[in-house]
Amino acid sequence: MKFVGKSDEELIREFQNGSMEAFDEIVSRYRNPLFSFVYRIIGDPAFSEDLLQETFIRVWNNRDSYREVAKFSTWIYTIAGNLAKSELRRHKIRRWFSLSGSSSHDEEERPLEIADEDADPHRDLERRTIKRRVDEEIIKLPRVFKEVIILRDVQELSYEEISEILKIPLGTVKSRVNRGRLRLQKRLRDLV
Amino acid sequence: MSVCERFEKNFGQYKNGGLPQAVQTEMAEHVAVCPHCASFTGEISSLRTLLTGQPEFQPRPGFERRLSERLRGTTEVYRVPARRRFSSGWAAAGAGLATGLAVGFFVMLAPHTTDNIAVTSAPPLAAVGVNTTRDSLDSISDTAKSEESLYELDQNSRTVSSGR
Repeated sequence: MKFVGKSDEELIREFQNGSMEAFDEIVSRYRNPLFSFVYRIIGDPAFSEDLLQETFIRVWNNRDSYREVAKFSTWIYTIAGNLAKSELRRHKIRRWFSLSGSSSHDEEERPLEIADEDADPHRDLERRTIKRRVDEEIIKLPRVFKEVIILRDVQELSYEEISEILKIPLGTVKSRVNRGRLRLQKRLRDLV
Repeated sequence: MSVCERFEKNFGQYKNGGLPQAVQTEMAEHVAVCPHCASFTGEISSLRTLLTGQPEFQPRPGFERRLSERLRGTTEVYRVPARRRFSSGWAAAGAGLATGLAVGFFVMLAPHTTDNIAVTSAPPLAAVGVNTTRDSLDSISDTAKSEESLYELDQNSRTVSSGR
């Protein structure tokens, strides 16, 4: 309650001044969105949690290097995105993941979803099946399309913010979003 | 490239109004009479609705506790991924092999007297500056502290990191 109405930038400032509760609040605000982002890029829940922890550890260790010239969300998404990209480059998880097929999407391996309180129980199974299929197709996209589609269409960040996070020109972001959507649209034609 | 292909390729810019005015008008006129492109527009809109409605995921319960323990440098609960166990295992094996070779080489070259062998044995930890008693006490007092904030115990790391 103490931090209700406070911006992320105010929180990081308080954290820089020594408030550990402000760090707790940052973790609370960004835990699920960042986990969803990293999981959809990596496709593996255990690795995703590892990277999420590493992201917060870097925020902790480098808090004094954050300057309010950029939005805090841009900064923390950049950290998480860079870690995820490095992980993909080093271990080719994406290739392993796509080769391993549906076995990686077993119930046990799938992370917990935030429950939709408005969900109609009768249609729940159908919705879950569709959402799972969409996630599988997102994860199978090449990284350059996947990251922009997740940030733009799933997380609903602005084109400008995505451009800053990924360090690519605005036009490239828009072009990749368009091409990513085209690929997804072809693969999900039976659903759209 | 047909008009339909150009429409699909530039759809994002068209939707955002980012095309030159003449091209924007041409596209609008085309989609009004082309069933294929009208259908494509509908599909992309549905796709966006589908993507926006994707669920948010959360890490396993106890994430904050695991993060707190990792921030404190404790690894007993944090599950090291298989990749790291694998690579650290190879690193340990490599280090062991190198040490073995170095010791073997030294023993082969050195005169075989008990005095020389005694010189090569490891000195006690205290002699190389490792205060095991103090380290143990520090770790005990760490765990004995209360956990009002999950991350409170790592205040020391602030001093360390800012001192870099």
